[in-house]
Amino acid sequence: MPRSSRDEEFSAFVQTRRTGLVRSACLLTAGDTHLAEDLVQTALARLYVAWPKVRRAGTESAYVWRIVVNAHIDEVRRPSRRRERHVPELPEAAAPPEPFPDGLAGGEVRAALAALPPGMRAAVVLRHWLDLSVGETAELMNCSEGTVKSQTAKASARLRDLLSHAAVERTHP
Amino acid sequence: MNDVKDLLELALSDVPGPAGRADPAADLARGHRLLRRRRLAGLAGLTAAVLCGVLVPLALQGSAPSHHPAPATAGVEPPAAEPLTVGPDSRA
Repeated sequence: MPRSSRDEEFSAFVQTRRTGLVRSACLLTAGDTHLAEDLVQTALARLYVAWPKVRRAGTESAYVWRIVVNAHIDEVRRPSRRRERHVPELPEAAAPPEPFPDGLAGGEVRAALAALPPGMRAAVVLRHWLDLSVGETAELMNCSEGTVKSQTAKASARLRDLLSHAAVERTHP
Repeated sequence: MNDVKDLLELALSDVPGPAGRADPAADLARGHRLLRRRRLAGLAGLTAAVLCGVLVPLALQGSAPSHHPAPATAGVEPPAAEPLTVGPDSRA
């Protein structure tokens, strides 16, 4: 079957971006690779439907990320698929930012990420991993810039606390 | 800023990545399927709207009660009043 230019362009986009998208989505899902794959599949299928419009606007990546973030938040909020892991007690946010503890394992970081609410996690990933600006992140998450700033700051502080807690538990079990 | 990025990098360090190069064929097929479904849904919606637009007025017309007096039809003039010809003076 002859492929249209839409198919050609979409395939080229998938070829170059898919792996990175799944890796980044893994951060949103706190290491759940299957859920990350599902989210990216959903986003890419919807991107294909909207391809002519999105391509004209040159916003392919932003479009995919918007779908991934929103689909993830919907997924986590769905009661039957609630995957948040609860920690017994969250320590209060530390006033001065301290460096993250040394010797952390990937699993500990993922567990700390999993303890964050999905909106906070999305803010951290978009700002720190994808290096989006506050404005771009706000547009993508459909919230105000102030919310992005506060979510990112709270998330960083909470990650720091959770990881310090994990490091203490590791050294003094 | 940078240390959070390092932290996120660490979180992905031991997560197995997708094996090999991305194969867009499956994503393309999913996109085709979704596009077809959307088009079918759009067509069904349009058909339903057209049917509603045609059938509902017809059904309303058909179910109108028949004992209602028919509205006056245009072009039928009321009977003209007869000239008054009674009385002795009128004959003159």
